[in-house]
This record gives sequence, C-alpha cells and structure tokens, in this order.
Amino acid sequence: MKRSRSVDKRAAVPEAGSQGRVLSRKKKESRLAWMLLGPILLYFLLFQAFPIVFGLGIGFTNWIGVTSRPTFAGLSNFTRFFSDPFYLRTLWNALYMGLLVMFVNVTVGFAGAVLLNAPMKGRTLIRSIWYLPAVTAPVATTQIFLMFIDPSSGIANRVLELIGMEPIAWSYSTFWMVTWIVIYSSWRGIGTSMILWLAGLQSIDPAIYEAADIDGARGWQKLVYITLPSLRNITTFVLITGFIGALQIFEPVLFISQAGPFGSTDVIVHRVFRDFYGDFNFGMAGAGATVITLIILVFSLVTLRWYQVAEK
Amino acid sequence: MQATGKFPWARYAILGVTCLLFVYPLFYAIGVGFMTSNQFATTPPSLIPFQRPFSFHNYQELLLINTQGEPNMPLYYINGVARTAWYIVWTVLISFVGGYVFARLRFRGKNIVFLALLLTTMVPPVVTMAPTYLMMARFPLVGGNNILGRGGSGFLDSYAVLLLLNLVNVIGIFLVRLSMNTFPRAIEESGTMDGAGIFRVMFQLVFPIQKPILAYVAITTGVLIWNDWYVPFVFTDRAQLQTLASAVSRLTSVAYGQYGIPDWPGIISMGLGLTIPSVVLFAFFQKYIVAGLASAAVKG
Repeated sequence: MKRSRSVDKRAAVPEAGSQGRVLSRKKKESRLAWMLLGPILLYFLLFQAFPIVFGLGIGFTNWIGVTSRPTFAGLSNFTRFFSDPFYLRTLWNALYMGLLVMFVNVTVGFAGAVLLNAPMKGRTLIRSIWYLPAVTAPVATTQIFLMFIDPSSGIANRVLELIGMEPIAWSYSTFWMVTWIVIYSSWRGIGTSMILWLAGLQSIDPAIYEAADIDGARGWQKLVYITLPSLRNITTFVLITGFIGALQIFEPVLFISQAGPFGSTDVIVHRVFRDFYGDFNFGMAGAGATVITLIILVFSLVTLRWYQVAEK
Repeated sequence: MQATGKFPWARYAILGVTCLLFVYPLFYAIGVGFMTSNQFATTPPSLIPFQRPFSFHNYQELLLINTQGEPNMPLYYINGVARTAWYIVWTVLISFVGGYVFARLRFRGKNIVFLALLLTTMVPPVVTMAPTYLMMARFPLVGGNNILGRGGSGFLDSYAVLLLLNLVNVIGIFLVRLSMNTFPRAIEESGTMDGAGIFRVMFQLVFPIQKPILAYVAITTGVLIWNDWYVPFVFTDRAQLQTLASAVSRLTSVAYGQYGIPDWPGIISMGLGLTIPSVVLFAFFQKYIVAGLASAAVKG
C-alpha cells in the first residue's frame, strides 16, 4: 500500500502545471465517478438499503397480513419479545448452538491447518476435500443427514444396532437434534475455518521458526510463543465472523429439526422467518430482526475497525 | 517449515480419516440415488449403500433422459442456470466498476459513501427478509398493483423477482478496491498516454489483471445463487418459476410438514444434481477460492 501511495505522489506532479487545468480535470473526474457509481447507488438504495431501514422500522408497528394497514405500536413488540419465554429461548438457542458450532469449526479447523501446514503429497487434494462441503447446497446436503437419522431406514440407527445398542428416536430428542445440527454445520463449516487458519499459518515467516530451532525451542514452545501470537489478526477475524455467523444459524435448523421437537431447537432467524412467512406478523418479525441486529452490530463495529486496519 | 514431520504416517492417517468423513455423505447419496424409493424403504440400510438391482430412474430424470415424474425438470435447470449467470454478470460488473471508482477516482463524498456501503454489510440479512417480501408484494404499479401498492400481487410469483434482488455485492466492491490498491497506476497511465479512454483502460488493461479477485467474486456468487432455494421458494409459487434448488426445497418437510414419509432417493438424487455442478466448478477454480478467502482474512 505504501508503494502505491508513492506512485500516487509522482503521478500528481505533472498535474500541478496549471491551476485551471487541474480544477477542470478534478471536476471531470468527479462527474465520471458519479456517472459510473450513480446507477449502482440508485439500485442499491432502492433494493438493498431501503429494506434495511424498512426492516428496522416495522418492529415498531402492528402489521399482520400483507395488505393490511400498519398501525404504530411503540415498543410493544419488543416488550413481548423480551417477556415471551419462547422468543428469549430462540436467542439463547442461537447463542449456544452457534457457539458450539463455532467451537468445533475453529478448533478442528485449526488442527487441520496445523497438520496441513507442511510440504506433503496430496496437500491440495486434502485441502479441497475438507472445503468441499462448503460449496454444497444446504437444502440438498441437510437432506442427506436427515436421511441418516430416518428412524427405520436411516444408517445412524443401523450403526447403533450393529454395535448392539437400542435405536434412538432422534427427532424426538432435543439433545440429539442439537447434536445433529452441530454435526451438519461443522461438516459444512470446518473447511472454511481450516483454509483461513492455513492462510494465517503460511503468512508466518519460516525464518522465525528456524531461529527458534537454533535456540532449541520445543514444538509446543513454538506453538505458544510464535504461532499463536502471529495469528492474532486471523484469530480476531475467525472469531468475530464466526460469532456473527453463529448467531444467524438458520438453514440447518429449518431443514434438519424444523425447530423441533416442540420448538426446543428454535433459533432467532428461524423464528423471524416463521413470523413473517408463516404468520405474516411483520411487526414481530421486525422486532426479532432488530434485536439480533443490535447484538450483531456491536460485534460488527469491531470488524469494521479490523477492515480499516486491513486497509492501512 | 515447522518440524512437525516426525510422524508422517500418523498425519496421513488422521487426514485420510477426516477426508473420508467429509466425503461419506456425498458418497452415500450417490448410492441412494441408484435405488427406487420402495427399495430404499424395504432393505435394511448398509454402510455401503450400493444394492442390486440398480435403478437408473432417478439419474435419468436428473440427466433429462426421462422426466415423466418431474415434467418441469428442464425448466428447473434453465431457471437455475439463467439466474446464476445473470447474477454472476451483474455482480462482477458492479464489483469491478464500483471497486475501480472507489480506488482510483477522486470525488466529493467518496469516503462517506464507501463507509455507508460497508456499514450495510454489518446488518444481518435476516433484517431484510420480511421487508423485501412486503416490498415485492406491494411494489407500486407492478403486477396489478395501484400506485399505493394495493390490488395486485406486485413482483410475487413473477420471473422478475428471481433476478431483481441483491445484485450489489458490497464485499465484492471492497475486495476489488483492496486489490486495486496494490496495483501500480503506471499501467493505467501508460494506457491514458496512448490515448485510451477510461473505459478502454478499465476493461482492456485493468480488468484482465484483476481476474483472480473477480473470479473469486464470480464463483462465490455463482455457488450462492445456484444453491439459493430461498428466493424462489418464498417469492414464487408456480412450478415453472422454480430453480433446481427451490425444487428440492419443495420436496422437503419444510414444504410438506414433518410427519409425511419423504421419497428419500428422489430428494437425494435431485440434491445431487444441485451439488455436483458446484463441486465440479470448485474443483476447477479452487485456487481462486482459496486465494480469495485468504485475502479477505490475512490482509492486515
């Protein structure tokens, strides 16, 4: 980045010739920028920015049904949200299921990256296979896992039978539904985390390890004193994006447990989806969405800072 | 490199087992695709799910050889491919133009506009779920709606809704800008001196060199849209408007309730039709994906 800035300065020199030319050129440049950016921003404002403002607003209305007229509701949707145990439970579920998923992804991904961070045959292939599930469609691959836990023709109960255990009615147990949601989400997410960790590991200068070797450092000492401190940036990135993603866990819940049994695995995004798409209760959907946004915004501001650091 | 090469076999063993775990569900799915639903329901499941007699019916349907069971199958492919292509073209174009403008041109309000764009990426997508639905349903003067958005169905259940939403990828703009920052201006200046206009400079000089990051944007967008069941599922109803992804979602318990007996081989094989193109695409372009993911995280 430093280099491009110095190029910048050199480029500015010939422009300084005559004041008038510089001004008109600046004007031209600005007009060109707005000409190129204008249509993009216009579209963005209408189709992407407006729904955000709209979405943060409808939480303050009573709005049930697409064609009905909304009335102002003040904070009543929010008071309902925070006094209804079912809504609070969706927040709690998203938090602990999301954190479970994140924990598995981050730790297993890190272990995989450490194992792959050495010249070895088939490394690219192994890396690809780890990442492969991440490109598959959730709507399709959740169904494979759902088929595994089919009570009669699923492989999961068959395996239990083979090792002499009783079959389990998976979909009637909160514990097992949570487990399968975590298993599926990790199957799909570990690869991404591994690639990020691997990129971080490979950005560490090998000379540091060589110096440590000369000083007689042990393997674990290198991990604690060199690897982990060097990975601070990537750790921040993985944890923050991981946490934000974790809170928004949706598709695995929708397609594997459907919030069941009896709503015990319901999560906030699924609840918002059900509020507006099942019940057409746009007010409650807006309130739920606003609550999760506020939580995420706090964490995202940290990410924004991180992006700014990245740009410098 | 680190001196972790003491137990190469242990390392291969661990990685080999994990690779098996990652691939196994897809392997199992391929086997189930060769069964009829009756066969699947009546034979006890086995860890290696290839059982005679093989039925090719599901795959024939997927390859459009025999689509009697699902007469709209060709449309699912056409809609899915059309939608994916449309989104790739627009996202790449917008990311490139936007990223270039923010990286190179000076204009008033540049930083504040850029910051505002970045801020919108902090808002979780769940916020726009309900309002987008309302907006599509009550878009004025469309689909029989009057100027207040009443009376008709707006963009709901129309082809337009499949192509209309979320064409601007702010992260794409951000990544192009980031990548432009390490791109020497001298190349563009030599182009300008040779008398090339801004568009020739952008598209003939800069675009080819920015290919890796644009490829990353294109592939991630492509996979995202190809896999997207949500928009067609929520915003449309007619079978002719479904993509392959939403067609799969309409076979799941989300559409039919929890207690029906699903046609596993049918769902699973259709899901493979969705999965295999992404996997093939990934295999070809994996170096761009890995580099793009890494550049999003390591810079700093």
